[in-house]
Amino acid sequence: MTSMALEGNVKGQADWKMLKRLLVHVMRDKRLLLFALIAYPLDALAAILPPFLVRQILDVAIPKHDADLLMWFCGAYLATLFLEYGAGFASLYAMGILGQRGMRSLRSELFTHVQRLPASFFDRNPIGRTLTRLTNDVESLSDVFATGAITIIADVLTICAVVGMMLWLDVRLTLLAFLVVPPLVLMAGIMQRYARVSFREVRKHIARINAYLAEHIAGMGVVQTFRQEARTAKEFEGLSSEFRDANRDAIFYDAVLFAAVEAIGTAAVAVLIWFGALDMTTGIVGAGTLVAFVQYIRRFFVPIRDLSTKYTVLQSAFASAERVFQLLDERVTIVSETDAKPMAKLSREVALEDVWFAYREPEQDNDWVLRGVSLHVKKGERVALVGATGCGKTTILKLMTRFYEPQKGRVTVDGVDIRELELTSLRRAFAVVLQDVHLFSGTVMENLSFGADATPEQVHAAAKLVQADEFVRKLGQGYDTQVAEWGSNFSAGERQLLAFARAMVANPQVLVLDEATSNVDTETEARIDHALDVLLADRTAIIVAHRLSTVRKVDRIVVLQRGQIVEEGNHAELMRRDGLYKRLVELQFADQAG
Amino acid sequence: MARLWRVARAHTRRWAWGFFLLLLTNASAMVIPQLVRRAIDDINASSAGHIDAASLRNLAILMVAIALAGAVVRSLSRIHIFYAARDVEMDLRNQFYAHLTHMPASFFQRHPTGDLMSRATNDLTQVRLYLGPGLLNMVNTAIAYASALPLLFALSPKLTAITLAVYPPSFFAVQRVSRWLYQQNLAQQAQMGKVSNFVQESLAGAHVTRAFGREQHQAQRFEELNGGLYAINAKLTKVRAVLFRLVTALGSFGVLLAVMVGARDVLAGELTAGELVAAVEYMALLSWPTFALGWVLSMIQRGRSSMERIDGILREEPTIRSGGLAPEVIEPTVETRGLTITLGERRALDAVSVNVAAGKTLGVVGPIGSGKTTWVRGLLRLTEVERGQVFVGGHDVVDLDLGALRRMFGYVSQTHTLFSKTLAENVAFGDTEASLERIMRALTEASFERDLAALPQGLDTPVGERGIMLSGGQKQRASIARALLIDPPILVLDDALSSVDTETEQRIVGHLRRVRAARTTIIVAHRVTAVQHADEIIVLDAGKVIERGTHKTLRAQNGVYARMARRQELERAVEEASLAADNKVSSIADIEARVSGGAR
Repeated sequence: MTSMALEGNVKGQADWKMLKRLLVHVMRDKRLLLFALIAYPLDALAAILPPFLVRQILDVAIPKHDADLLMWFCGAYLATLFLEYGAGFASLYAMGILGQRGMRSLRSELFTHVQRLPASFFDRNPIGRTLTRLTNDVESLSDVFATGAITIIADVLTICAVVGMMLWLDVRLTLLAFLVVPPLVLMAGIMQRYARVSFREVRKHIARINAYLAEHIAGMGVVQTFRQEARTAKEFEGLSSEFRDANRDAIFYDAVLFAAVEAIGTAAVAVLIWFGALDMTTGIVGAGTLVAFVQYIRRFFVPIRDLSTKYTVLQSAFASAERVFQLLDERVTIVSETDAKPMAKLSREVALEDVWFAYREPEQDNDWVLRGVSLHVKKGERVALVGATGCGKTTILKLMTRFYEPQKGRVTVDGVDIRELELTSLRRAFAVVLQDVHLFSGTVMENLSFGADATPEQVHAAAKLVQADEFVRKLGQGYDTQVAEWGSNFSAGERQLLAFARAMVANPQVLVLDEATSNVDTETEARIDHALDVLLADRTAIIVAHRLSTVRKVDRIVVLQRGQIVEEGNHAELMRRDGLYKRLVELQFADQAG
Repeated sequence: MARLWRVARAHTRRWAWGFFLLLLTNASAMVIPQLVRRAIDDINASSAGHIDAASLRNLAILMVAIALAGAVVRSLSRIHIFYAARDVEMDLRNQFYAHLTHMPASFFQRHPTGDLMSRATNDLTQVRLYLGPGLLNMVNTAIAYASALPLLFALSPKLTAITLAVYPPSFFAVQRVSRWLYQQNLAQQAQMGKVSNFVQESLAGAHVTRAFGREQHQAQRFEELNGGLYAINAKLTKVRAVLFRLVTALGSFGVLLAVMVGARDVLAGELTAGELVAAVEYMALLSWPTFALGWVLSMIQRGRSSMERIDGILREEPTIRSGGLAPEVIEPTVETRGLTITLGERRALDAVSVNVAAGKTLGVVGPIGSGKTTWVRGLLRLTEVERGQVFVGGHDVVDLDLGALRRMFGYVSQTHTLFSKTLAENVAFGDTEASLERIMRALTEASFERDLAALPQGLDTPVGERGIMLSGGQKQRASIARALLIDPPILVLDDALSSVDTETEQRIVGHLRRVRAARTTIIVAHRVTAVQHADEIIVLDAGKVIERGTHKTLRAQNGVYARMARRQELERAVEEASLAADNKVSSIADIEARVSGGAR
C-alpha cells in the first residue's frame, strides 16, 4: 500500500515535470497567453448570464409590465451574446494557436535533436520507432489543443460560476436541484468509467484490424501461394466481429449517457415544480427562475459529460509526452567542441593512430572490431582496403568521418585530432559514397546538388564526367525528374552512378568510398568502372574495394584481417611478397585469361 | 451506393426499430414543453391565491415519468441505429478483405498498401458516420420539424415565423463551415503525410546527411514542412473556434428574438408566460437538429464519395481468373514454351523455353532485373501469362483451377514476408493443422533448428511485424520451412538463400537433395554454389536465356556463368582466408587447395 502510494507520488511528480517542460514550449508567446487567460473568465461569465437575463425578463419585466425594462434586458442579452461569442472564440483560438506553435517548436527541436544523435543511436533504434515519436506522438499531444481538451480547466471555472450563480439566485432551489444532480453525476461517473474501458478496447481492436490488414495486404502474395485466402478471410472476420462487439459496449454507454443528459433537465424541472408547489410558506418559484435553473443545470452537466473524452485525450497525450521527452533526453555524444576549429585545407595526411574500436562496450576480445590499426593516407594518395566481410574495412571509413569514435587511439587530419575539428567542416571535406545508395525524394538535380549549393551547370558537368548524364537525360524530365521513394525508379547501377555524381559535385578533399557488391549488368559495370577512374583522378581517396579491378587503380593496398592490418604496400610490392594478396591476384589473372 | 443499401438491407429489423424508437423519442420530447407551460401558468395563477398543489404534483410525476421513458427510448434508438451502422461497417470490411484475397499482384502494384489501407479505414469510417449519426440526425431533424412546428404554430404564429427566419439560414452557415473544416482536415492529413515521409527518409538517410554535412539544409527543409503544417493547423484552429461557438451563439440568438417578441405579446396579454416558455423550449428542441443537419449534410457527401472509393475496389474484377480444370493428380513437371511477359513497357521475359521433368532440379541465375522472378511467378500465375506458354503437369496453367495449380508449389519468395504471429504459426501458415513434429521437421530441413534455442520462447516466439524479431537469414529460413511444411510436389526457391552464408546454404541445399530427392525443385540464385548440383542451369539476361547446361558444361564455356563462378570462388577464398586466420591456420597453400578444389 505504502509503496504503491509512493509510486503514485513519484509518477505524479514526473507528470508535473513533464507538464512543465511541455508548457515551456506552449507558453513562449506571453501576449497570446495573457489574452487567453483574460478570455477564459470572460467566457465563463458570458456563459452564466443568458439564463439570468431570461429570468429577469420573465420574473421582473413581465410582472411589472415594464416595456422599457424589457428592452434593457434584451439589450443586455444581445451584449452577452457578443461577449459569449467573442470571448469563446478568443479563448479557443488563442489557446489553440499557442498549442500549435508549441507543437511546431517541439517538432523542430525533436528533428534537430535526432539529426545530432550519434550513429550508434540508429543502430539501437529502428527508424519506425523514432518516426512515431516525431509524428504520432506529437500529433497526440497536439490533439489536446485541437479537441479542446485543454479547456478542462476552463470547464471547472464554468461549473463553479454556474453553481455560484444558482446559489445567488435561490439557495433553496439550488439545494433542491442538487438533490437530483448528485445521483446523476454519480451514474454518469460510473458510466464514464465503463465507457473509458470500452473505448480503450475499441482502440485496441481497431489497431489489431489495421495491423492485420496492412500486413496481409503487403503479404497477399504469400496468402495466395499458400492458398490461405478463405482461412485468412475467416480470421479477419473474427477480428472484425470482435471490434464490432467492443463498439457495441461503447455505443451502449455513450447512448445511455447521452440520454441521461437530455433527461436530467426535465427531471430537475419536475422536482422544482413539485417542491415549489408543496412549500407554500416561502413563496412560489417564478417561471423565470424555473427556466433559468433548467438552463443552468444543463450547462452544469454537459462539461461533466465531456470530461471523460477530454480525460482520455489528456491521458494518451501524457503517455506521448513521456516518449517524446525520452527521445529528447537521448544524449548527443558526438558534437563539435566549443573551441573546435574549422578544418583547414588538407596539407599532409589523414591518419588512424593505433585505433581500437568496438561497436558496444567491449566485454570480451571478440567485441573488438579494430585492434590497433595505424594507417596514414597522404594527401593525393589513393588507398584500397581489402579483406573479408566483418574485418573492419567499413568501420575505418566511419571512424574517419567521426560517425563513431574509437575507444583507444585517435584519428587525425594533418596531425590534429578530428575531435578538435568542427564537425560539419570535417564531414564536408570528406565525400562518402556508401554501398547502398540513399537517394532523397525530390528531383535528380536536388539530389545531385545535395552536398553543395552547386549550379545546374556544375551538376551537369559532374554527371557527364561519371557518365550519369546520359541516362538522366533520357528520363522523362531529365534532371527535373522526381526520384521515387527510396530511389526505386532507378536500377542499382544507376543509383551507384548518381551517388558518384553527387560526390563529384561535392568536390571533396577526400573521397571515401564503400564499393557496391551487388551485381549489375555488364554494361553498367563498365560504366561504373570508368566513373571510378574519373572520380579517383588527382584525389585523396580511401576505398573499401570488392573488385580487384578497383584495387589495381590505387597507389597502396591495405589488407585487413580480423581488425588488423596484415599486409600493406602497392600492387608491385604485394605481388613480390608471397602473401594472400598475390594469390588473389593470380586468381584474377586466371579469370581474365579464361 | 447500390452496394451499400444491399449490405444495409441485411439489417432491416435493426434499422426499423431504431427509427421507430426515434419517433417515440421525439414524441416524448414534444410533450414536455406543454407540461411546463401548464405548470407555469398554474403557478402564475396561484399568485392570485388558489393553488392546486395536487395537480402540480401530478404534473411533476408525469414529467419525470415521461423524461425517464424518453431517456429509455432515446438510448435504445441510438443503440439500434449505431449497432446497425457498425454491422454494415463490419460486413463491408469483411467483403473488402475477402475481395482483396482474389486480386492479382498487378492490382497491388496499382494500389499500394497505403491506398488500400486508407480505403479500409478512413473511407469506411466516413461511410459508417454517414449511416450512423448521418442518417439518425437527418431523420431526427425531419421528425423534429414535422412535430414541433405545428405545436409551435398553435402557440404563436409570430414565434414560428421567427424560428423559420433564424434557423434555416444558420443551418446553411454550419454546413458551409463544416465543409470547410473537412477540407482543412484533409489538407492537414496530407501535410502530415509529407512531414512523416520526410522524417522517415531523413532518418533512413541520416548517414548521408551527416557525411555531406547537410544537417542545416535538412533542418531548413523540415522547418518549411513544419511551418506548412503549423499554418494549416492554425487555420483549423480558427475554423473549429468559429464553428464551436457558432452553434451556441445562433441558438441563443434565436431565443433572444423569441423572448423579445414574445415578452411584448405577454405584456399585451396575447400570450401567457407559460406559453412563451413553452415556445422557447420548442425552439431549443429544434436548435440542435438544425445544426446537426448542417453538420450531417457534409457528412453525407463525404460518406457517398467514400463509398464510391470502396466500391471502386470491390468492383474491380480479378484479372487472373481460375480455370475450370482440377485433376486429381498433376505430374510435378514444369514447362514454358516461348514464355514472353511484358510488364508495363518493359519486356521482362522474351521467349523463354524451359522444361523441367518430374523430380529434377533447375537452377536459374542472372543479374538483377534479368527476369528470373518474373519467370517463376508466371509458373504459379502470380503474374498473368498467355495461353499456350506455361504448362504444369502437361496442363496449360490458364486452364487449371488456381487452387489446384498453386497446391503444386511451395514458393519461397525473395521478400520472405512473415506475419506478426509466433514462429510456429508462421511455419504452419500453409496448414494450420500441422503437428508439432511436422513443424520441427520443416524447421530442421531449413536449418533453423540451431537458432531455435537462441529465441526467447522457442517455437512460440512472436516474430513481430514482418518478422522484425528475426535476422535476415532467420527470416529466409523460416520462409523456407513454411514452404517445406506443406510438402509441395514442386519447390521454388526464388533467391531465397541470399541472406544466409554459404555454409548454411550448402546445408539447406544438401537437405533438399537428400531428404526429398523425388521432388521437382527450382532454385533461383545469385550464388553459383546454390545451383551447382542442379540437373540443368539456365542463365537469364534481359529476359532471354543466354546460356544453359550443367554446372560442368557452363563452367567450361567461359561465358557469363563461368565468370560469375570464378568471381564468387574468389570472394569465398578471401572469406575463408579470414576464417583460416581465425582458426590460426594461416597456410595459404591450404586455402588455395580448397579454392581450386571448389573450382573443379
